[in-house]
Amino acid sequence: MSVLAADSAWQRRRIGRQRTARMFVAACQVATLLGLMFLGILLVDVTRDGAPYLRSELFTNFPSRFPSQAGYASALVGTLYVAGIMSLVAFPLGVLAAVYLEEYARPSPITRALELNIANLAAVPSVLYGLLGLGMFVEWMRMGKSILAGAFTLALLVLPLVILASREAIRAVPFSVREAAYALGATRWQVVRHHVLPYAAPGIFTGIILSLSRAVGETAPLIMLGALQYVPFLPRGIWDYFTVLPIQIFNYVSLPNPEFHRVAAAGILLLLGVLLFLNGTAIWLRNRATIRW
Amino acid sequence: MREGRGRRRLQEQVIGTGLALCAWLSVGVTVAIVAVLAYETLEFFRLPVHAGDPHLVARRPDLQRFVEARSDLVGHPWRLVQEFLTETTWSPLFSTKRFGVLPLFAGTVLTSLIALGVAVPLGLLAAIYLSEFAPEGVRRRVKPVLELLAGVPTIVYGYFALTFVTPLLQDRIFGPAMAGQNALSAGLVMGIMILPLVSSLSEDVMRAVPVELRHGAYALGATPMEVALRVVFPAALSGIAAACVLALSRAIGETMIVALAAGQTPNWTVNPLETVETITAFIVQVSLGDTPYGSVEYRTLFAVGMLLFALTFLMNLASLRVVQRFRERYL
Repeated sequence: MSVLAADSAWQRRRIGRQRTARMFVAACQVATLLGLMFLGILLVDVTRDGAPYLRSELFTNFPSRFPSQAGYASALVGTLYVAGIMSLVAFPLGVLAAVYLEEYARPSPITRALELNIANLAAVPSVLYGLLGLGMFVEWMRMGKSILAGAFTLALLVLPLVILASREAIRAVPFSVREAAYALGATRWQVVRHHVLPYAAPGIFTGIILSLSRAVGETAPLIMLGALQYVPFLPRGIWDYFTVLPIQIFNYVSLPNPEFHRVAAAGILLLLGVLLFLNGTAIWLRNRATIRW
Repeated sequence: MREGRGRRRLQEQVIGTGLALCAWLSVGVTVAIVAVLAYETLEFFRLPVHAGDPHLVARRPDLQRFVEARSDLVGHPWRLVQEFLTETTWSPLFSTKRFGVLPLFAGTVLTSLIALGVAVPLGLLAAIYLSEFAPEGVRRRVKPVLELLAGVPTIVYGYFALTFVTPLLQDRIFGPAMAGQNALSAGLVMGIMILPLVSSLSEDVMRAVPVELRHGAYALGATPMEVALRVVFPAALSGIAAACVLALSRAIGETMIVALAAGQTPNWTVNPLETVETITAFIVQVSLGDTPYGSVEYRTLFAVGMLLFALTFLMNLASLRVVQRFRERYL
């Protein structure tokens, strides 16, 4: 009798525990779905606001006091300039630094400090890179609020990301490849140049493209370096004032007239389009060129 | 032959040195950030000293304006330090300048905590689902899509918070008690942004927990929930804590969402329905205005920037410490 009672109490508890477990699994599912739903709502909301304003004039018109005539011409060209110069600076430096850390540096406390420093830099808020650019490039080096200062600032911002991604790619090249080249008498640089880098190239390019898309979407650091409300001309050189796509969007969002919010939403669609293209390219590259060892 | 080898060795050395320089550049960047912030911050706190020197004041308009605004501080740099750290009025952009940074600090903490309140529960549950319960195919597809949330530019989130979330909350729940720019919307949306940071990193560490531990628990009659919460979760705790601290650090440094949706009015409050200004939003606000190089406003940028740097640096340090302290080792 008492055994039976204990047994049924145990049964009841077991059923209760299983019910709780099912509810918990359901809660986990709901949380995951919520995350996906947020992304969906965000995209639907922006598309609904911006799609009617997606016209060809967005590409040709300059900022304007009238929402119907406002466009992103100077912002698009500015983004091209800044991203281009940034790429020329940050990507070679980042890849070479990664080569040093993976192929040349011997394990030592100094190397570890170097690695820790790069990891820390990747976590510094982007707005502080803006202050760095303002204090160092704009004022100290007298570059002014120019395209060049903006490009350099973004280059420093993405440098740790490029280094981390490139190291990952270089590390994935098996050691046997290097040993074979060394056995044939190749120098360290010849091994890197002719064997490691070509094999790591797809991974490196994927990392570079992702860093580029991060830089293109970055707003905060560039506000310090020339968030001019109104740039009614195309940049004529690297010393010109500039505006970029996210900053132009920011300017339109901060205007009180809700019509401008629709123009901003259209700009966001342009921006997301650019990012989708970049990330799509990165994924395509990764799937196509990944070598299975 | 010998000559060629010598030249090649020289070439190798040059290349090695060049590569090392590229790597050391990153240290240069860190030094530059700290140096710029520290120099300008020091200049800010030395304003009362410089303002006491008549020769300097005669030459520098920024000092003249400082003396006009705050003659009580002239000659008392420590009084400025004390005011900065303990007073609750921040108005360096007005003519009667007060330099108590606490409202900006409070705004930053308030929005970041709201963000964590969204991201930690949802992110952890999602991580548990993906790591413990989801079929492999679902996990492989859902994880990258969730990570897209972290790849969306923050200006898009700012737009979303300002033009979608705030009107929605005003119409449906809070009514006019909610300001057009408020801590709640900004915090909620920021929570969505950092959600994948919590979920992805936590999922990685949970999957790294050896499957034998789970088998052992199941063999003892544990339910899936008990396995997840009492075996996997504690085993992965160090990594999860590090992920949460990292997410907090990201929330503290986030700029565009709070600049657009939380507001530009320093406010010493914990009411999430009110307008607040964060450290980062203040930096944006000053940068948008026309602040001449070397002015008092220009220097405040770097003083609060230094505070932000110190905060996020502490977070990163804490995340390292947490990892070391709770790390479980498996053979």
